[in-house]
Amino acid sequence: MPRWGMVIDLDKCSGCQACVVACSAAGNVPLGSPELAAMGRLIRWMQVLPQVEGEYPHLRAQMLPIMCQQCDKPACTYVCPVAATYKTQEGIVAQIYWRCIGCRYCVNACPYTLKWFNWSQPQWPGATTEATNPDVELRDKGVTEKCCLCHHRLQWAKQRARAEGRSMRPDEYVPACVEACPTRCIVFGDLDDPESEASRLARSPRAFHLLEEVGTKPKVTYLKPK
Amino acid sequence: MMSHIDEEILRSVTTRPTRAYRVTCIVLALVLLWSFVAWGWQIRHGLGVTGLNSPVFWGLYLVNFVFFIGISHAGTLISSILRLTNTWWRRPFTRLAEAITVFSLPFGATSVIVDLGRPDRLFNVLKFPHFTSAILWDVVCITTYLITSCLYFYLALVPDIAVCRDRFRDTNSWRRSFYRALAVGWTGTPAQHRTLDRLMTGMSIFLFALVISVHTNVSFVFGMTTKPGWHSTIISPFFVLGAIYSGVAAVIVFAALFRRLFGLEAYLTQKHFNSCAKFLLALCCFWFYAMIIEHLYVFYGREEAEFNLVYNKFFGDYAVLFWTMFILCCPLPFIFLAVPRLRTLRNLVPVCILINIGMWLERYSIIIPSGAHPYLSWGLGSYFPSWVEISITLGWFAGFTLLLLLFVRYFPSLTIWEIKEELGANSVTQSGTDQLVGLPIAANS
Amino acid sequence: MLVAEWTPSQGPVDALGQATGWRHWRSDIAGANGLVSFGWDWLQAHPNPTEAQKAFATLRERNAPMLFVGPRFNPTAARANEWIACRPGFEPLVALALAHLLLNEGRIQTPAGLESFAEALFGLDLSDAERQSHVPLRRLREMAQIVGTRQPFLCLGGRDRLQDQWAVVALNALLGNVGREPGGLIPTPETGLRPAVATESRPNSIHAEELPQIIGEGRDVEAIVLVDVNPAFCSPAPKRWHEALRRAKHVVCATSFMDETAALADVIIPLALPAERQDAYRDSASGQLIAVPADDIRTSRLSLTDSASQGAANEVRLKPEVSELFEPVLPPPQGVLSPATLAFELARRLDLPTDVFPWQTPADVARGLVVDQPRVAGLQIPATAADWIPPNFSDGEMHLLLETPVTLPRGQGGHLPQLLTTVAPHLREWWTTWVEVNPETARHLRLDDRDEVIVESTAGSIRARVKIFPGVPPDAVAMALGLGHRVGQFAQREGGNPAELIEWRQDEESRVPLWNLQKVNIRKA
Repeated sequence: MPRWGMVIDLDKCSGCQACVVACSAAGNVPLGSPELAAMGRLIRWMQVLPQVEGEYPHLRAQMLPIMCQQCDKPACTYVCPVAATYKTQEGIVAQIYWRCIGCRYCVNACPYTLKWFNWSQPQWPGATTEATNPDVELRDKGVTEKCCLCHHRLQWAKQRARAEGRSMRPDEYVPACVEACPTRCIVFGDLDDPESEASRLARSPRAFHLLEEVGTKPKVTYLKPK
Repeated sequence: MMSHIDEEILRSVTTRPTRAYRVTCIVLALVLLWSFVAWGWQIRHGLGVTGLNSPVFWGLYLVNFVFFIGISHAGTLISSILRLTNTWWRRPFTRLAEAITVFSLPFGATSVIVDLGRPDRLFNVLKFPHFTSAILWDVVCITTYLITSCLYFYLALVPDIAVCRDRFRDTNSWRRSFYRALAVGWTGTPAQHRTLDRLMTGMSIFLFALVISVHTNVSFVFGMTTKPGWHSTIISPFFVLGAIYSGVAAVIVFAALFRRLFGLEAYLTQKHFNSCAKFLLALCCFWFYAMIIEHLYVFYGREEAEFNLVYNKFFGDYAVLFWTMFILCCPLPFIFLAVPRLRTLRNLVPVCILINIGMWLERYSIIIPSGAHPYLSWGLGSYFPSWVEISITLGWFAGFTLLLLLFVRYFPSLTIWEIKEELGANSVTQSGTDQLVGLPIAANS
Repeated sequence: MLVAEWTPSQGPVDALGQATGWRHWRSDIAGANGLVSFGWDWLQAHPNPTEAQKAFATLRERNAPMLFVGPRFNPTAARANEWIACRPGFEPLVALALAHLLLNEGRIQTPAGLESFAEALFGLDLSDAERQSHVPLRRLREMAQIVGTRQPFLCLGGRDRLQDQWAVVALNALLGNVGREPGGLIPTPETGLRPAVATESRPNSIHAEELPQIIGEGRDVEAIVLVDVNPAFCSPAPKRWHEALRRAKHVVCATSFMDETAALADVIIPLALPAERQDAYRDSASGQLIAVPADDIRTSRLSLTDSASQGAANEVRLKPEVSELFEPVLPPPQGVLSPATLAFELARRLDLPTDVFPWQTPADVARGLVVDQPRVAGLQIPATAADWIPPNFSDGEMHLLLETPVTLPRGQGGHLPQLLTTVAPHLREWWTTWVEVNPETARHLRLDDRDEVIVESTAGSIRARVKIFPGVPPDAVAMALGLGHRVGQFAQREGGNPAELIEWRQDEESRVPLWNLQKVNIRKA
């Protein structure tokens, strides 16, 4: 069973946010509005978090592409009363949108605050309804959502392989952010395969995890800038 | 035999309600109705109509949840635990305490339902239960608690319903059949008393366990996350203590109210209130102890996330909230409860109301600041409730008060049979004037 | 017919053109062993952002140092190994000072042909440069250490005043980057149309942005065809264009989305991108019907319709008098049908005069009718390149530093939904026009985060929200171009357009529009 994970090289991230746009397009993430943003209710599964420190002219910045950390011990899955969020056998922390009762316990339990709640009915203005991804469910109001590692692409790859009577190759499954990133700073693969690039990079001496001390064992690894 | 006791206590049931009472009930009913309108609005438009946002995902509804479940514990404590210890002064309070328990639990439980994003999917909890979730434990616990308290409440009511039945036997109102049906043939024989006593003792033990476990369970909802401020071991004892503290204060408030309204000074004497007040003082001290412990460790340890949160509570955005809450919960009550000269019934009622306000603010100061200051924070970091949340909160309080007011219209507000027990056992105490120990007080104060 | 070049995305085109005769060239960023940019936010403003990010990744992989010289901590500075903060407008002086240091410290030898320049550079006073540019000498020496020890070390700059461009080109020439492959400035073959470089034989070649001036001076313009540009929104002092477009007899606009220029057009031709759905669409604000988009831009079937006709998907109604004019426009043999070529073809079919402004088509080149000859003599850097005169800023208290966000290329796209939330990665600001203010300045002016302010200049005034950001110097504020759209179904219709604050100024010699010499005042609204 592969264990899917990601490695993000912070040295190469230029903060261009192509990943954010690709993720929002692939995941049917609602666009939002300035009003929603001002209320702190904008949903973006993938974000580039800037961390700017210092005073003029001695400033330092770090761009941190951040999304659901796909923990191996996900705090969110334990607390859901209806098991609407759960971890698949391949390690993806997934959501069952139609089952979610909207209690927001999982959203509160996530130490990274990387789960999102639909406070109102998502609006798709004008022609944008026709630009949604048909492979991903559109969520209703009152439901929690988050990055699921473009799980629909995994299902496509498996189906294609099955139709062709062979097993799926790991490189056939590529999440949208990985595909869009121009600097190739996001690497994706099977962490349990010692030969995959993702697992090799995850063992790099520059590797670290966010909030390591909380013990959630996130499968998104970051590489410190050189 | 002691029928004048029955008459006096049944005053609320037999006399016509005053105009003031009717107007109050109507006003409360309107407020409750308005809260349903607000809830309907929220169901239609989603939780976006509240002031909730990222990262403050839980707000007034959860505060109400913890608060109402909290005050329900005092009921059980006074009527069952103090029953097991055979504390003498509990007797006049038990009826109201149990009533408060039974009436506040539904409001607590519906607060969570109001908070759900998809209340139409409520039964998913039964269809797809996930037993590692503290919310599911809460569902089980609170349901058990509600059922058990209702049963206990009813059992304690049966002898009094029999009194009512006897009182209305010769009238032709619908109440005659009503009470007769509910009295299930109680005649007050020693055998029946023994059965009742055994049942109630047994249930008291069970309820004893529930008092501790239910609110501990409620605290699990918060404590089982890793949020700074929630993930502390003291949150459970703190919640239980706070629950009992606010609940006993609530009981005192309503007891004093009905005492005044229905002239029950003979049975709810100054001595009873005095002893209850001393119990409240003990709870106040325990609460203060838990407060110190919780914050002392954080200040000394200076672990960043927790420290930032506590610093914000003490000196930052939440300082006004926190210190108001603290003053209302601790130093102010302490003065009025500890100093015998000040521990009068006239002072006790406002102090208890303030304690309840303070405890509501305390729930707020546990839930919202931690929500606004998670480990990794973006989004707004502040919260202000919207009209929907405020309407529903006010509606819930109105509904609770309304239920109590309606209750005393049809059932005695004191436990007649227990009071008869007390008076029978202690023939010294009589109706009439009583005095607080050590102080000359005018009658009917 | 003019090609409207988006100058904030360009390098020192004019100076390099005069030095080498090239009109088209590229900076081989990925091939360099080091990179220094003088004021040009290339990670965002590069004409091909994807290539820019890829090149950045390559630089990182090879541990090639990337330096940025400029007043503001923009995304390029944030990702640079070293950010050298300097006074706004004085980056070219830093380039010259660096060149002086490299020569004087013997880190580089004077290349052949550049002796007169090197000698003129010798007279540069370093302490004066330090004083004027606010870059300490120590920093300059550190820069020289980094630049002088790696080859090739590429220098980038923007398309500003000609003498600013000369400083960057001269430094590149000294470092041997001109014509060097990999890692230098490399000429590229030309395809399709190209506007002519101003030469002695044709000195009056104009920049597209001068068109409103020309119309204002009384020149009779029959038609303006605008292809994939939005000057009524994104050019310095865009209100000039409103008047000009009203005066022209016919305005045809070929665009993918409804915008301010299209709103002033008589006819809108949709430029379909392959990802677009093939449906008729209409601007929700004005109700104006936009014609059915073509199938594929490479074999585009142009369709013209008037506002009365409505069509189902893929159905086209043509105005009878023009339908016979339009047959499929095929791509030229060299490659892709660029908007410029498309525009030229349109103009030709509509019988609009195209010879007023110098132009060359591939057919002209094929027939041997080449108007300009690239200079074949060697690289020529005049000695005057070393005499750098400080810029003459417009009146105002604070410098206005403009940014062209990577998600709003060419200052456009602010009317597209998804991109509006990714405009400022370092600020987490979305949608609304903001103005970045230094914390000290904010304290001094008593401004809080998200306060509404009025930003005023000699050209106009707009409203914006304050964003307190330590990355701007205390005497400057920064804004991003591209926000403040009023037209288009996703336009937010709030906040102002920073382009309205820019006075219309041109560099005298290169005629390039000048965006970066503006100063503004801000006050609480």
